[in-house]
Amino acid sequence: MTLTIYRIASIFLPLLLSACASTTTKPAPARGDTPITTANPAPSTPAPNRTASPTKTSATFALLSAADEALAGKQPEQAILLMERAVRIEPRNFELWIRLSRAHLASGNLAPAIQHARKAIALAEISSSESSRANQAKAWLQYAKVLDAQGNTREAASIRSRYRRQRG
Amino acid sequence: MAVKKKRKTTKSQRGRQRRTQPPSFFSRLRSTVLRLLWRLLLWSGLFSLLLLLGYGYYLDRTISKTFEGRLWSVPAQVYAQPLELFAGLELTKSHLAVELDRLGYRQQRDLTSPGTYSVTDKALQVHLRAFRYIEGFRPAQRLRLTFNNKGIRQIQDSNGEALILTRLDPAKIGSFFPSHGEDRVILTPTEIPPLLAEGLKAIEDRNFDDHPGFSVTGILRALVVNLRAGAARQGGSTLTQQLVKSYFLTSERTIERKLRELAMAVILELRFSKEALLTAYVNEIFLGQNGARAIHGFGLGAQFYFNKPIDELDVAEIATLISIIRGPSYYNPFRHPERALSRRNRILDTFYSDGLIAAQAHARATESPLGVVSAAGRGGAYYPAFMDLVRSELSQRYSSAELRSQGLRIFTTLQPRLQENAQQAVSQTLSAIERDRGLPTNSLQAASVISDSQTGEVLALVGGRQGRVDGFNRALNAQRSVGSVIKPVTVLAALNAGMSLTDLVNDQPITLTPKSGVAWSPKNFDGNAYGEMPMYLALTRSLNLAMVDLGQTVGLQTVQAQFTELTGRRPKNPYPSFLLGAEAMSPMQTLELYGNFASGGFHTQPKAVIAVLNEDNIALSHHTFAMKQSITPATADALNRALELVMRRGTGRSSAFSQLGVAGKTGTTNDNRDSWFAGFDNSKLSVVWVGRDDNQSTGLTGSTGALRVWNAMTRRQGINPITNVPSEDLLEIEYTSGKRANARCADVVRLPVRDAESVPVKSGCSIKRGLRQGLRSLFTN
Repeated sequence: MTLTIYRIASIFLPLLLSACASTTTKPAPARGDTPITTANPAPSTPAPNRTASPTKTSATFALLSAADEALAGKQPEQAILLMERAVRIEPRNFELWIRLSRAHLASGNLAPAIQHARKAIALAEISSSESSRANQAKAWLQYAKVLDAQGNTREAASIRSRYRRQRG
Repeated sequence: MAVKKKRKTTKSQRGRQRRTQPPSFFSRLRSTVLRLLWRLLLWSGLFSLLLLLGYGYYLDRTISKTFEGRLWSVPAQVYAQPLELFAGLELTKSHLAVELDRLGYRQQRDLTSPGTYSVTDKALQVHLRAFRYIEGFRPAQRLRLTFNNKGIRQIQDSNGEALILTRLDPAKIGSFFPSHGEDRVILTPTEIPPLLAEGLKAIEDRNFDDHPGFSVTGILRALVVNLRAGAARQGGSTLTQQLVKSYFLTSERTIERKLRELAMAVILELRFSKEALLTAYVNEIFLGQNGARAIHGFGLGAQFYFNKPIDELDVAEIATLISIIRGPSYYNPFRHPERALSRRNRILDTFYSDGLIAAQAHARATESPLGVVSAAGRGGAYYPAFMDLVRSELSQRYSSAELRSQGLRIFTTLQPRLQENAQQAVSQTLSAIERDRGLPTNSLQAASVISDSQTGEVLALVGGRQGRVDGFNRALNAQRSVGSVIKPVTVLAALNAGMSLTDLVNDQPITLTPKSGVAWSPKNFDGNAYGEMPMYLALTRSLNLAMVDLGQTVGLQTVQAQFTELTGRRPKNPYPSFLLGAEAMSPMQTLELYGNFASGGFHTQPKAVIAVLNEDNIALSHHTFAMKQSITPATADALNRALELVMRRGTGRSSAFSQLGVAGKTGTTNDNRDSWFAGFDNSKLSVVWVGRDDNQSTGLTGSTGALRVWNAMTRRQGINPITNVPSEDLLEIEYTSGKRANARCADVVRLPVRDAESVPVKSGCSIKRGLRQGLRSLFTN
């Protein structure tokens, strides 16, 4: 059990760290479609959902990093555009739907934020990777965040207590 | 005093007096007539002047209004989805070259200008054009792409640095012209290549810069030529006159029309600058016909004949376009290449003798072939059926005033390659079916819609068997009975009511008599009845009696409420025949219904527009993904497994792709009037309808008609197999009986079952009850 948690953590922590790093240290991106090179914020590890090819995932992950920067720069609309572009490339990657939900939450669009979190949950449930429990937890926790924003704090709290442990 | 004077009258005076005696009757009459005539002349002159002024005013209003209306309304540009490029993308070098050709990139060794590419053994190098995307501007860039046997291996920029992600510029698929709804590519004065402007003057109107709208020498010259020939051969029209002629297209050649044209040309010259007139001419002139679509203007002409933007045309291509003006059908470069070539070369000679091009350029251009693109690639980006969807979506969101605002750019979800494939598949398969079955040629019609199964975005839309004809759009507007395609709705309602796929239904004759209406006795397709069977089998075999039985168990109202939940619409048919698909729907509505299943339980309204940007690149609005969960993930998964069985074992099994991980359902209506198929894999959902416009029988079932079309589409596009929930949560079931079994003792399928203990065990399979308690996990949440 401990081993499993450790393994899950080893997948998620670098991802979280890299995401945090890009949101805190990078300046907001210029509004432009500059090609994403390795010099741009790149994933230090691939995103966890491995159902697709790793290179496809690194392409969408690059967009995800750019979206994080847009969010940090208070440009949630731009983040939504970038995340939708990522979803078009890899529509079954639950992680991208979580980020899309996050971007909608940031721009105050609660209806799509909640539906996209549900979409992430549905996709995480059918992801066949061994970390699917952790994936589900991640999706559910995003759902809880949107519920909070809707004022439904009770259900949010119950979801949190159910899934925090699993997330490790 | 007066009397005295009278007396003093002399002889001569008397003589004169005799001559000025009171005028005779005739002379009085004459002077009266003359006076009247004079007055009449004066008044009629004044009247004519007034009339002329009025007519002039009328002409002025007409021509100025037309001119300004056309010149200043910049059409909204519509774009397809751009192709994303990244390492790992399954796209071969030759496929990428095809995509670049589609966008009008030229293959050449020297890549100094954007819009060019070169291919070597190992790599493809491309100079991408600059483009302003929704997210912002991407300058032109030079890339080098290498490939392995799967697809793109690496993308490098001009500094040798690896790119993770970039994209092609999107195909321009049309434009909305607010004032007259035509398709144009409008050029501004600065976008007109100088050689085109000067060349036009050199060939069509030498004195353009100086004349007042007409040219006396031109008219005289034309007169001489025409008199010598004994017929009207030469027009002698200035560019301005040609422009006027083009505005009011009519073929009559009368003096009156000529004069009117002349007057209007003079008015235009008085009112507008030469630059404005030339620009209007460049955007207006008729350059050919493509089916029902008229090719007006050099912008669209460049796209139609050479499939590239005007600024990328070379000297010879500009000369070819100018050569067409004189007779778009006589000098049609596709039909009469020699004629077009020789006129082009005469024009090149004039360019040279006028000093517009250098000797070297002249020699090179004269030697180059016509270079018009083949019929297949020509005007490739013209998809009227998809544009109908874009138009209807926009009209729901925006007022016509908003859509009329200048320089809108509309980004859509269309994938041109998929669209071309789907259209070809439809056209070719219908012909093949007609041939195979001895049906009259062109008696069949079809429609198809393809969407991304997760986002609900429409990727391709086929409105009939002829893609480039702007006609009745069956995908959006044909309302036809859907037949068995509707059956999954009943199965879903049953699952939501707590039933399992293995629960038994009864396939037996039944007569239903509604409170109002006539008695109804449905039949199976083959006329037989098969008795008790598991629910999934009734679906895979598409048995009508069993499905009516299930509908009765669940309740018609519940099934109809389920339909409303999935589509946002109430059924039109309130009777039990609804259960068998006696419900008229368009292919687009059927797509919306199946979107719920293909997405794993989310309802989306299929959409075609991503964003509408104004001139300053600011979004009027983004049409972001909109969805609503309509089925729980576990239930959606169960239903989709049953739909996968339809393909593997049931009415879809004749498809060559049936065993590869696809789900779907066929549909056939009474007397084989309609043939339907709706199916999906892991990424795309497709709906196909085949039938006749006059609603007569085709003799086709869902699998011999629509499924065949889908097969042809899939052959071109490939499959992305469905991935399912981990299979240890499933129960092994004997396919024909619905009993628990295993592969050692029976022909089994794997299905999720709500309560494993309730499923009877097949004898002789040595399965003990109570061993599979872990199943409920599927039905939590």
